[in-house]
Amino acid sequence: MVSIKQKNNIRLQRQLKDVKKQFAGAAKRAVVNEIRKSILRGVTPVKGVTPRRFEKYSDSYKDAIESGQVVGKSRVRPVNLKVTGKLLRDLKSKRKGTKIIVFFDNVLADIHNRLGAGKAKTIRRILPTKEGEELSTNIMKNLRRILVKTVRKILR
Amino acid sequence: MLDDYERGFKVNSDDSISFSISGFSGDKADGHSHLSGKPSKLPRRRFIPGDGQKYNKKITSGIKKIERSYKNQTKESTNTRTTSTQGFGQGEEDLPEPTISRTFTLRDVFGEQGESIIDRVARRLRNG
Repeated sequence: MVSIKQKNNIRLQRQLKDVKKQFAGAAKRAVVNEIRKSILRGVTPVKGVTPRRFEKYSDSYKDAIESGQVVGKSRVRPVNLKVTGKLLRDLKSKRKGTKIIVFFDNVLADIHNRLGAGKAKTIRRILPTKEGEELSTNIMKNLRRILVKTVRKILR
Repeated sequence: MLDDYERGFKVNSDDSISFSISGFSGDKADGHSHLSGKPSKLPRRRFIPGDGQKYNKKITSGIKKIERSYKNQTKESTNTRTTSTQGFGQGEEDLPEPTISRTFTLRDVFGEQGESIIDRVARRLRNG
């Protein structure tokens, strides 16, 4: 026979699971939005990477942009890795329990993030993929703001 | 000479590729490429990479493309793929991954402060 106390415990466990799920759901969307915003501003979302701004485009690429050869791109600053917008659209996330997996489903992401793009092999860190790396302080601050909003929503 | 160049490539048993061109064509190729250091009256037109040199980017990426399609067909393991690029100076780690990902826990996303906020919410729920 299940006692009232046990029933309450079961209910509480369920509620806790729901709370964590709600947080994870909110975090899933928020992390992607914040990373995307940061990249579009031309700033790396990875903590500890200096300089924070992405390295400028090479002179030859700048010339190509300015002469209109790069279709879909007309400005050389900010360096936001956006030509067609596909790379940024391919930044996705999924929730696995209370964990959030953020991923770029695009081969260009690894080229920018790890291998280096172009002849000069310029690395522009767009995701904290290395062990121990974190999201930038600014992003964390914004995420905490979103957390507070979510808390308010849950408690309403 | 160019036919011999084409025939000079061999796939070894360890999946690496070796290249040799010998005989009269070999001498001609050396004369053009200035590889052995023998004096040559011909201007240097190197079409075979020397020590520490690689084929140009277009060729290496072409080789990798063929290699990838071959591996997709045979579904070999990652370890085998690494050895197969021997001889071109670049290993599997130089090939871009189709997807890069990062798993975050709630603590990673919201920090320690966030964790305590979640606890507070839980406590509030517990107290009704």
